[in-house]
Amino acid sequence: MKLHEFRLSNGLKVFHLHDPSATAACVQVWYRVGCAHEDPDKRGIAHLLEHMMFKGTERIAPEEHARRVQKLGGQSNAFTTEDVTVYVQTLPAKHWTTPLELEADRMCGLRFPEDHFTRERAVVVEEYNERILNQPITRTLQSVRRKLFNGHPYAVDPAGILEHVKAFTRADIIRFYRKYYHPGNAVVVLAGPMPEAAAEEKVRELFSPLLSGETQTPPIPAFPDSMPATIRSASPVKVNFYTRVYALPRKPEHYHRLQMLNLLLGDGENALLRRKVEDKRMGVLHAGSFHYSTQGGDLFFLYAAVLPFMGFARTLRDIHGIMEGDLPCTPSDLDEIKGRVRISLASQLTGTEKRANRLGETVVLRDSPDAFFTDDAAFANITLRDLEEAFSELKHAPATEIKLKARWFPGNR
Amino acid sequence: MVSRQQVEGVIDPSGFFSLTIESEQPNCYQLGLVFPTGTLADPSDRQGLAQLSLGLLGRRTVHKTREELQRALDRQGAMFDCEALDEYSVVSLIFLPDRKEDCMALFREILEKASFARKDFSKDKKRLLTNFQVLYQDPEYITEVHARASFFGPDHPLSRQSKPRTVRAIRKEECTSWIQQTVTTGPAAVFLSGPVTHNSLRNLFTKHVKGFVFTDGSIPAFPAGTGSENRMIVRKGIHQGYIHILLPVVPRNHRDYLALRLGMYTWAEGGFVSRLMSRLRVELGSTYGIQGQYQTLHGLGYFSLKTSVNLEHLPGTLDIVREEYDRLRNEGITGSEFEDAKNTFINAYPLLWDNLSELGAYLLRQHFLGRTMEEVFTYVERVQKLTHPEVNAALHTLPETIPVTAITVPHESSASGVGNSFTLTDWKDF
Repeated sequence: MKLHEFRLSNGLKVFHLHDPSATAACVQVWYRVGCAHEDPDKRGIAHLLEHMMFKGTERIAPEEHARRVQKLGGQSNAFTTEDVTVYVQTLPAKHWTTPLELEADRMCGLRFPEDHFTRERAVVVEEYNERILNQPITRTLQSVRRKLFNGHPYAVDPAGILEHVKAFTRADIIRFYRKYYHPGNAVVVLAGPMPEAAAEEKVRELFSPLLSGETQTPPIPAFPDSMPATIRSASPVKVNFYTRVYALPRKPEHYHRLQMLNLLLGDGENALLRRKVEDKRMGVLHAGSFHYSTQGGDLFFLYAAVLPFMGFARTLRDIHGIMEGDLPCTPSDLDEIKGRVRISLASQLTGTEKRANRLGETVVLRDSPDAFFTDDAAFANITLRDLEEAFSELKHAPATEIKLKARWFPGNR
Repeated sequence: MVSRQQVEGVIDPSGFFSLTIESEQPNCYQLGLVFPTGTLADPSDRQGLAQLSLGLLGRRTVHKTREELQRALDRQGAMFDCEALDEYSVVSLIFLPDRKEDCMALFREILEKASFARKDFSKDKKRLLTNFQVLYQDPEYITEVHARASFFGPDHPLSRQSKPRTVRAIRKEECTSWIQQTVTTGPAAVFLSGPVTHNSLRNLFTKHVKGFVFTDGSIPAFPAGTGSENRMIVRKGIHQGYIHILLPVVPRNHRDYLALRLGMYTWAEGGFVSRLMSRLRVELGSTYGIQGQYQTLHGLGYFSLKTSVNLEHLPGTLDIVREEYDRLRNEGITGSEFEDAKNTFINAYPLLWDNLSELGAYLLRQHFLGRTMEEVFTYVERVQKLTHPEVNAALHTLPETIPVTAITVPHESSASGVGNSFTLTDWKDF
């Protein structure tokens, strides 16, 4: 496999992972705009725009985009996160030019028919009902999130605020679209067997005529100092949940170090939280960690799910015991984690779409196109000292404790 | 990514099926061993046994503690996993090429010398029991469970759900027996891929499974669903109406199978090109999605359709679904719908060959449903041969009316207008 990259004069960046053995082609457009870039009174508009992107242009009728891709045997999809909105098409390799034509057309040529807008807004409301209002756990997490980020753009998830969504007008969405959807704010990611020269020629032909917009998405502010020290809420089930969230500034060296730290601390059968917290007490159902990298910074979560009879105190003591000491990692531990990373990386990249996804992440979210090929070595080169530094930084980072308490157990403290 | 020449399926005299795929990408070996015992084989008073038992496999062995086993896997660069499916259970290992012998030896040890502590068992049981709290809050799950109970009847394996009562009843010794019996009865198939030849893959496997018993993996056919009761379930606090529909369709080995697939795809399975998606989401805006799925098991086929809709649109949605079903059955699909669906089926075929793991899973499934490798490889030709009259004739054999519809609503009054053919049912009554 080889990576071919180039840039158009209107600012569009293109990354093509050439894989001659692939039978599929994947065409993605990553717009550098997500829900975190919404105005405070227009939360949910990025997601609604994602839906409207399938509602036609001058040349393509509403719904025709997805239908065309499907008729060619492919699948089209899209997702909105805090930082980006991504459109994905995967289809038999011989049809690789079709999604490029469709994407170029809708990048600047969307029509927003009023009747379709009204109905699609109703669809988004039903999506909100289905995924959030009907799911007590998701509602709880949404409420906790808002308290955690406390006014920061990440306080609201991509689904938005329902009252805002219901009130969106067609003019609102056109404004958002024109502001953020243009070649200068987008990255095209291609993966598949299409020859490099032909792919570049096609992209230039289709996207060069598009004018670059004026707005680049503003950087996401760092996590607020005002993140609360503690958040308490009711658990939607008869289980207590404890989470400690560390907020770290965004730094290039964080990605690999924090991923490794995550494996050491909480992800895997031998992880520390598993052995020293979960296995230690019968009342602890789960204990672990995860690392989430965003444009605003890195978030590191430690969590435990605890049966109500136990309360929180003992679990917290066990977690404190791990976090307040030195990094509990020997050279042998490090080698074992590296073994796990090797096999995990090797097995992840099955299929053209997964490769394109990974390339998009490294290019857009990590600003590091080479990482697609160099992550292996980067993980292999992590030293104990690197991990110790990361652990120390983590321990001293601002942290919020979140306690969700099951309501029904009388003795639950 | 994978060509036909790279794929080989061999059935030995015992009926054991070896599927090998030569592939240098990804640069690792993948092994999946299939045992012909899944969740549907759980005794009715021990629903959850397969899931609980299989989850305990790979925790430790007779010779290694949990920590030692995991360290051994990590050092070798191997990932172990297991999953209980409806009809089968799959135990898998992914490992790096340079440690293949050690990894295979570890795999054998995990299977033959499986062990787990009582506290592992107790904690896993607690987790399963806690999961029910989440499940029972999900109106989609509740609606599906009731639809199945009505359609298949309460004693059918597809209706029997694991419940807190059945999971609580499971004893540690039963999990031990389940693992031992499953391994002793023997696997029915293996999927192996790696950067070596077919023979090398098979040799690697046979070298490390000497003494294993192998079986052909046949399981009895499941009876068809024949129920016809519509149910209404009330769950306070939800903000939509949930719908789950079930109807019988022909199984995989029936001559009309492909024809009916095409028709059902047009009705409801085809995502944005399906009739129901067009009417309910695009034209009405009443729902985020329609999920139609043609399901096949041994000797059994059924079609499930589910959606959640704006409550005001619930009666209208049911009317549209029935109306489109009648139209499908009585008038069939149009010529242009037929061509579109057929082209989609044909054009999508290469995508299957792009992802190694998905391809392996698909080919194994085809084998257990009675398809030979040659039939899989000639799928496109068979779809090409389908004719429009054939599809419409197959659609005409569908039941006259949709036999089972289950709906879940926040209160009884929110279902006014859906007709009085629904039996009000307590959500716990399954």
